[in-house]
Amino acid sequence: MEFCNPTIFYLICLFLSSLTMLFNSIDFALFLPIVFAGYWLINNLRAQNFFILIASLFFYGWWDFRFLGLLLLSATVDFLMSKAISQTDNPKRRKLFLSVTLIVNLGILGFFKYYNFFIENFKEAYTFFGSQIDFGYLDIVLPVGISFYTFQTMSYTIDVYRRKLEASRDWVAFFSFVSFFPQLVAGPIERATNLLPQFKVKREFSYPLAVDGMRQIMWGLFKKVVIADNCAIYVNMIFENPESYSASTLLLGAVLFAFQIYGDFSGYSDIAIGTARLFGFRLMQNFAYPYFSRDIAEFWRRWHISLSTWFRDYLYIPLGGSRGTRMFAIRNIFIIFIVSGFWHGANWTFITWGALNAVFFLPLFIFNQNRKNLDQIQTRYLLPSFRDAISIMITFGFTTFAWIFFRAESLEAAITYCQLLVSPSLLSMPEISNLSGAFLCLGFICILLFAEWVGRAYQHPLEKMTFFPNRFSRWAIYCILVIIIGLFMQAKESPFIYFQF
Amino acid sequence: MKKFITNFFILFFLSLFCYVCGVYVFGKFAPERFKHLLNLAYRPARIDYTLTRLNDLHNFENVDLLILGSSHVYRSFDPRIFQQAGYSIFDLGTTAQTPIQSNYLLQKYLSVLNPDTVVIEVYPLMFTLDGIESTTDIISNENPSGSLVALCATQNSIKAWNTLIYSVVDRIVFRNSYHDALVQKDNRYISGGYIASPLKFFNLEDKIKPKVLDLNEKQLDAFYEMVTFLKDKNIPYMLVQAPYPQSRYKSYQNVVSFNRMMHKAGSYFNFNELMKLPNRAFQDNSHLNQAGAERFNSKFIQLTMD
Repeated sequence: MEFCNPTIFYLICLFLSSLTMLFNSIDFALFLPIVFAGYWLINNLRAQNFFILIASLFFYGWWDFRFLGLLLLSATVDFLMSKAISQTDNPKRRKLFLSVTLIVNLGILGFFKYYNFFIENFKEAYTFFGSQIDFGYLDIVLPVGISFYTFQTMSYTIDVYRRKLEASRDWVAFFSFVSFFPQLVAGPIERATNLLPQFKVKREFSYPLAVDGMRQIMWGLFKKVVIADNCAIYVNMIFENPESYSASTLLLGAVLFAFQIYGDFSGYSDIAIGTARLFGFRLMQNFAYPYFSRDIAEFWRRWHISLSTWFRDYLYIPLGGSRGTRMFAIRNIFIIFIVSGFWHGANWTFITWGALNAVFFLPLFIFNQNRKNLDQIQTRYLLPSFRDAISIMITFGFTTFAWIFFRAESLEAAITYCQLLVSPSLLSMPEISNLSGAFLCLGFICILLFAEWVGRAYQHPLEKMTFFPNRFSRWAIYCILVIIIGLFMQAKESPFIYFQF
Repeated sequence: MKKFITNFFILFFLSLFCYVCGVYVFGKFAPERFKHLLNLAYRPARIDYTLTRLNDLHNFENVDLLILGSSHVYRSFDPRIFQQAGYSIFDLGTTAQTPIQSNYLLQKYLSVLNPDTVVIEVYPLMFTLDGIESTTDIISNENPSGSLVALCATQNSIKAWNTLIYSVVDRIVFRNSYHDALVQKDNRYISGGYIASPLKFFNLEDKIKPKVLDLNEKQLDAFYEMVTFLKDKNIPYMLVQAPYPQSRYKSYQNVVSFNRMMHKAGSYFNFNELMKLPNRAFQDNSHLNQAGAERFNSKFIQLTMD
């Protein structure tokens, strides 16, 4: 039989050795149904949680088994310290246990993510004053998901400390909560008050929840592999060599990056949330159509919601928030945005990106306009008002400008990019090889915006599908999406941008 | 749960069917200038004569040399020159063929051609590629088979899979067949796998940017698999780096370590060191012209065969 041929066997082995566990990969497509089947075959709650824990550790270990220890260390420290906190009323001891958690988690994060950054800047500052110092850089591999799970475990311990939550006595449930594979490597950063109780209650299979999960996965895949990965080709081309392009091409590059990062990150979140739904879990919404925001304050209520609310609850409010004097509140705003930028990576570009957003936010805060647009835009009408449309475009312009700093390799590169944008060639036609491909990207972006505008009242555009009342039409849409994904996704798998954070 | 699984499987097979149809329809009817945007590269019967070559090889058996590799093979090894010297060869090179495809072709056609010696053309650049272009070229020009499915699985590329799907629909469902014209745009197919083209001379003006060869692990695995396979079968083989312009050869900054690797893998003949042909021996920035091929073949026969 032809499949017994050694050539075929060798080729299959070569194929298996190339697998990675990206959400948009074949091996995840193999992993998920196996875990799904195994999970729902188990009738016992604790056994189900244990199964999820093993599957999640396998999932994480597939990336890099060396860092399983770090994940388990972070989870163990938080589990034990939270138990210790809940077992004492002594404020000093409670604070001590909390400090241990914060030191361990921030220490792990600081070492793996920021060691070389601090060394480099320390050296530069030292040599600025004419002295020489020799500190070696370390060849440090950033563990996948470290920024996410450390924040998740810290939030648990802080909530226990604040008595918002009882410390978990069930280590299986707790470790499953920390390592839950759909959201482990790139969020949403779940609050224990939301997710942990779900591990303590028996999950019953819900057909509507599972169907909605599949729809959200499909939508997330579309955003990631069709929108984000195709935009990435042109973004990389343009950002690598901005001097070679006209200002209009640079503008195109910035816009495409805005949609690349949105498609990539919100796509991942959609797949994560959809996957969790297959297992009966409800994760928090992480993106609420941020590019329909009417001002920067609204944008930050809709973009990476799990991180922005984390910083609000665990940094901004403890710092004093907007209480006290205006200057005090402005200081806190800057701290939050800069720390948020710094969370993304050890580079001055991220810090500048955060600071820029603070600068854009400030006028709204000063004139008490930052809580103006709390509702979803124009849900009763098909189109936005003229005023809202202008506000949306202006807000998009500001965020896209800030994204230039996020994407650039260095501050100098970002500044050069911005300088090159100011040119009469801004009004010319963009010039880039394979311009038809770039316009195809814009076409897909239009489809994305249309679908998300129509479905903006829901968690994701495919949630209700009210335009398609019968199964035939819904299934036709799914088939069309599958065809588009298959024909227009990039030939090579590409990782999600936020994995590097 | 039962309803979910039932509907899932129905939808799965329905979308699979629609997907196959969608791939064929888009591939067939998309305007030519937009076809390159699709994840599909079904191009049978092209100017590089892969189709003719794969058909022609069945006219040969017990050849002296079977030569595998990139377009350097079918532009550099002229069967007519070898025949005059008393040797029979077959050029089983294809455009951008990487070790993955060489391994596939070797294992599939070794018993058909039954060569005395196998020549593996080792152009360093091919070791840096993912090989998708060559895989889609082979899929476009071979009838669908289980071994092609396995080749697609190795590539792990949606483009390869879509091309295979298109090929299955095109060749099996609609029973389309193709043939090359033996002369296309001045290029003439010579039996034995060679492509003869009018004498042209390459005049290199531009400097080629220095490049560090980032060797692809999968290609190296496939290469060593080939070597091991030939050793296990006791089939003599040699590794040959066919000539290409010296400016390009020197632009590969780590070519020395590549050469060292090849020396360790077997009998290695690097004709970019042995000959150092001038630019007028080439028709473009990569391939020998007829005059260059004649010089190369004479030297090759002298060094390896006589």
